Amino acid sequence: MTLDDHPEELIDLALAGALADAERATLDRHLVACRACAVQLAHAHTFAAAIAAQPRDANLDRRAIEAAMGRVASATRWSPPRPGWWRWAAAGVLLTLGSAGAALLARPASSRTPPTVVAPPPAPASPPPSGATSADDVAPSPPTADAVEAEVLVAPPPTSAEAGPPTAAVLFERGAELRRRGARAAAVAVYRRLQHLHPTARETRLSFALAGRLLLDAGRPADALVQFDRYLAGGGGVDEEALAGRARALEQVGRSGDAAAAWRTLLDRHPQSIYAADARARLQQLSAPQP
Amino acid sequence: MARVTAGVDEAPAAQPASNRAADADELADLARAALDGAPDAVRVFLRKISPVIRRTCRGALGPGHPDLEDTVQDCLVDVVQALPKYRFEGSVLHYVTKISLRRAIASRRRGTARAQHLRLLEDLQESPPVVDDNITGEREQSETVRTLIRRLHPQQSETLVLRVVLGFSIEEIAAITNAPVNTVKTRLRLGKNALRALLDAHAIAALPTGRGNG
Repeated sequence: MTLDDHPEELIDLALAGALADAERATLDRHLVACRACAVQLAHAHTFAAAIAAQPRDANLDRRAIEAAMGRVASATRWSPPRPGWWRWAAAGVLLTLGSAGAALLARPASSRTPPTVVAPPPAPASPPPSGATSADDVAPSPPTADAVEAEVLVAPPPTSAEAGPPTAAVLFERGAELRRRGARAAAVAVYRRLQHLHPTARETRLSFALAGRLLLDAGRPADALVQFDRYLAGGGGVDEEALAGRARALEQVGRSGDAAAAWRTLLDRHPQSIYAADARARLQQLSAPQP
Repeated sequence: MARVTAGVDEAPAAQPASNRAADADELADLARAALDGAPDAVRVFLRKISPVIRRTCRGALGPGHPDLEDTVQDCLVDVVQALPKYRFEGSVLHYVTKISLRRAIASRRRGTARAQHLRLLEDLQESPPVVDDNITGEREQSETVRTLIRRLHPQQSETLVLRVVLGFSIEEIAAITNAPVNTVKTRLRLGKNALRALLDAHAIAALPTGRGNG
């Protein structure tokens, strides 16, 4: 071994405390002459300590994230970041007053999405509903939504670029694009087609939560509940959102007891969730004596 | 030695391989959801990756660096803006680490003079913590080593920060930097040769701690 042959494997073994005697002798001979490797070994614990978590890191992360969210929002068409749960909660309250009020609040997510961040999909699954190019143009109307879903499910128009069934990734992107365009019912239809064609794909798992959210926004809590339940049966990265959505869906279908249990599950599993405050408020309201 | 690759918060050895795979899948799902652009989804994704970004920045900048929070913020923005280019072919954490490290190294180079000024102000305003002399010596030497590494050729510097400061294996560095393993080995060899020359010139020897030698 020459001086320039730095024994990386032996260094790894030394750091792991797994160096045999013969190996230790070899490494020691190198370390005598090579300050770079000697410094790496001697300072390994100092470098490790330097990157270790510190007490105030949670605050640092929170501030950095909120600032970054603001910067990203200002660079896109987002309105300033407002947690989706606020809109969901408001829609839930208004639903008790009347579905018309809920329809006003339950707008699709398209008004908040940053189109500059996402590349366009290869081709839409189907033309969006006539005139459905903005959030205001797609006020939820269950019969129309069902019709659109049926159309997409029954007659998915193939594109010239497709020889076989679209892949899970393609369908997922189509659903995302339709969501961005405010074509909520069509997006749900694409997600359902994704679930039908690719039941085990990872995109499918996430589609349950996304479809649940869309259906809840569209004032279809029973359908949303099915989607959230299917998502939570498999779990994944957006558990908090799915649990919160499920709880709201249960409230909206009148299953108050189950809704309270769902909120408690959210708090038990994710006590630091951004939905925690909302969950506590909903629990308090659900436990209050009804007039 | 602590690794940045860890799921997100835990050391890799602390998790079975199946859990790590599940974590990777979960993170990929979060990235896909964030790519869709909804602020809630972006926020959830950023909360998940922020520990990795913070550790990477801290490794590149050094502990207590006054630009740490701003750099973490820059990295978060960089990651969101880079997501559309990510092809979901490798580890999301590796992708995040690469973006963060490059931003942190650039930030450090740009802000050295300002950082020194701010540190001086902090020294004037705060009582220094009471620490053992040996620990102080180690920290100063570590900081000097970090500074010397940053003076190397950018690719060698990046490779050495990943290897020496953040503790990645050669294979992990190859994945993070999208470079063949042999290229990483070459960069590591050349970087260490250059670092050795700098250390010799600065007469910095390893502290005789004997730690980590098995």
